[in-house]
Amino acid sequence: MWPVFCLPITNFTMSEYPKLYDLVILEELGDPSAILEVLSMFFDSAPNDIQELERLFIDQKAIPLSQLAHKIKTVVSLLQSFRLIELLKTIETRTKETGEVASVANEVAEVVSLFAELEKQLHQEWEKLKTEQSGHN
Amino acid sequence: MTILVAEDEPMLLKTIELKLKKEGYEVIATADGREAIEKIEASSPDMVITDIMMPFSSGLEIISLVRQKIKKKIPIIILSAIEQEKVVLEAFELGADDYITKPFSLNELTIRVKKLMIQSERNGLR
Repeated sequence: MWPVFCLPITNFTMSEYPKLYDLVILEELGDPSAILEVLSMFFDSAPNDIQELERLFIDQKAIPLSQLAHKIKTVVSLLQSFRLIELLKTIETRTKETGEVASVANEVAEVVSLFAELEKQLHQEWEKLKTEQSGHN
Repeated sequence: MTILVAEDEPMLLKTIELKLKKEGYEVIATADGREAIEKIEASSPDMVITDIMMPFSSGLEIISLVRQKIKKKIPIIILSAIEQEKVVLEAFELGADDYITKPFSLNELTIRVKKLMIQSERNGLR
């Protein structure tokens, strides 16, 4: 049996995305190895958080969904990923105010889709930083 | 000088920790409010930087404790989300010294830390 709540299909294709992040805040660390350390934490935890976000939406858990959106928003804020920040803020506030999840279906779907692209882009950045760092060493 | 940082998002906590260490501070990093309170009581840091919403004890509880129980006037900076304006006012009433809204520039945070440390020294509070 299909779940009552499922995510809508988004119309994006990966090639349409512009750069989804800006490392301006992390660059203030002044050390590429520190940026790599923070990015590795992102790769370790953020994909699980996005999976959990989807699961909470499907299970219609509005308040935990709101809290998790707040947490992920903090993470993507560090990466200056503005569209994701905006979507997560909508999910956070709307689910908190209404106590239901149906009205954020499109936002959750877009977060999942954008996040996959962000992760891909950041992996490329990671490789670039790694190469630069090994060149300096 | 030692700064205790309490923030429940590990990536942000690590980022702040790395920046402050690069600036020459010793950092006690903690991800929950209860642990923050225990560490403040045990180590009496020179400054506290705390998030407002955290598991077990909130940033507001941390401020209350620091102001009521610790004799030394420890400067406190609050990390807040933009939608938490009312809570920031409450934090100031409880004795917070400064706040910064997430997402913030790490350089701005560092400047605020330095300024507050200087103020605190001038006032003879440390």
